Amino acid sequence: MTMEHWTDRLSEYVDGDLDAATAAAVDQHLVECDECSAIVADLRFIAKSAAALDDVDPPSHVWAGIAAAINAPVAQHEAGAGVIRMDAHRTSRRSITMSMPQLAAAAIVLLMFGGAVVASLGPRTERTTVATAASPADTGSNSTAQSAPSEDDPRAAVQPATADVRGTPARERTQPRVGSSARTASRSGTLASSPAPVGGYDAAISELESAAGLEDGRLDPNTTRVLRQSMQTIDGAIADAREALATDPANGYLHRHLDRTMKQKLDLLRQASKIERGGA
Amino acid sequence: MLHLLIAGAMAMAVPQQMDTTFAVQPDGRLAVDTYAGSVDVRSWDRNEVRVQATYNSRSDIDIDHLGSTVAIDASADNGMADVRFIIHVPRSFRIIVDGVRTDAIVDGVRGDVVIETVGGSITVRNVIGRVTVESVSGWVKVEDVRGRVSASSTNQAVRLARINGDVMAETVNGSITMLALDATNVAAETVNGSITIGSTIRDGGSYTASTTNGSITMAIPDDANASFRTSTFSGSVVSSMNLTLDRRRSGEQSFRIGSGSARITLESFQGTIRLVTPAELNDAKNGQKNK
Repeated sequence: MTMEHWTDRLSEYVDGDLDAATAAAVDQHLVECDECSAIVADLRFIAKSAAALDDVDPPSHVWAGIAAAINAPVAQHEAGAGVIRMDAHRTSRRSITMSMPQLAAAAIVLLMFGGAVVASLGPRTERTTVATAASPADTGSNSTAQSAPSEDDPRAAVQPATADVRGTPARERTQPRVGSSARTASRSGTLASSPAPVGGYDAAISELESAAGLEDGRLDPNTTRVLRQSMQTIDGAIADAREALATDPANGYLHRHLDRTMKQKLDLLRQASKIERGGA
Repeated sequence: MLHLLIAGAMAMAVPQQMDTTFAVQPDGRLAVDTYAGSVDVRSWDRNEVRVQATYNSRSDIDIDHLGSTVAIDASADNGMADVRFIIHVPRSFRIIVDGVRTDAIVDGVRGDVVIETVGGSITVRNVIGRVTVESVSGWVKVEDVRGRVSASSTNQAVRLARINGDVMAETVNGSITMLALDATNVAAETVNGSITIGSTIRDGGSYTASTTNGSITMAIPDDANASFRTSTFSGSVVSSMNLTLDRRRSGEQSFRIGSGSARITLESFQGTIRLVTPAELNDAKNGQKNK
């Protein structure tokens, strides 16, 4: 079985929701696949982090919005999406299966409940120019662009540069290939666009943001501005990663990249919470 | 126990000066907690601490010396003490600085250094010990350290040079530059910025760098034994070296040089990943300086 085959099952694997035979097959796959092993490690980390958060009751008006979304009947989800399965009408065990990025997002939401989080998510903005610093070896003559890689091309040699690398100006990337305004759902699911209940991620965060008192001046305005700016940068990166995943859902790097970026957001929220507690 | 309380509230509106020196144990600890201004910690060959401070009239400075710890706390009625400290400590002191709008400099100690500030920059140099520094909107610079270094900013650059020890550096909006490292484990992570790494590559070591919007440039010594994995979505991989491609699949390439003992993982979502020789990296840095 390939990595692509198992990617959607890793969350269930971590949750212990797979039958014994499937779990054993995943075990076997993990021995052979560094990428999936890394994803499983990340999922466990995120789940552990989320579980370690203190239980803090959110303000009633915040919970009301989320509860309403959770209790709403859920539309069918594409089986391959591997996103969230919920049945509001089921009174027994509620099954929630999240993809890795969604689990990270859920951890962020939990964190925002747990601490007085002040960072702003705000509307996603178009990211501006990204320029690479002048540096050596950027001749372009031997670059191995990977946008259209040949699969499994072992032993191919990367040719050395033939030009004088010192005198070559760096290329400026003025337009990221991937726009940051995307809302396209990836195979792993896009929380912002998902019809799933917890897919009200942005709305829930927005409510939580208000509840956390971002606008009430508890933080120094400059600190707030910096945190907002950083959060927008990370949000742009997350949006780009999601859009990229939509075009290349089997790309293991993109899954890791999205996971890592979500963790960066989690770290920033933690930092914002810490700063707020410190009164900065 | 030494306890000094310099109340500035009754003072005139002009900047106030304070200068006090007292004996301490040579291997003690200095902890400074302030809001705004600067903290400049220097070492000397005396078993004394000297505290020089310039502060505004609203600020109070509280110095506690209990056991081996010297605690300096700057406060103000409005919570925004503004003090410029110059503090001399014995060479073997450990240093802790906690500030908000505070620039911090620590130079020349042989003890662990921990600095946290929100809106200030951080400079640490000539230290033997672990260094843990964190700023939100200020840049971070750490140079000439023998010990593990963890350096982070949120909205500015991180620059590390001549570190003998494991290194971790991170920021969100800013570049990370790490030069002349002698490290077994190196990790660098930013979102919107470039990463430059010049380090020894030790067998069994781990060297990772990731960015979303920016290039990664890493110098690879001739005698390195390393397995590389480079990953990008819309960027590219450039090398001036003869590298043999082990594997390529969607977004990823694997290379190996020598025995492949060290693991090098470089990931840029949409930037260029460059593998260069140390000489090329030096040339590039010199070229930038000469511009």
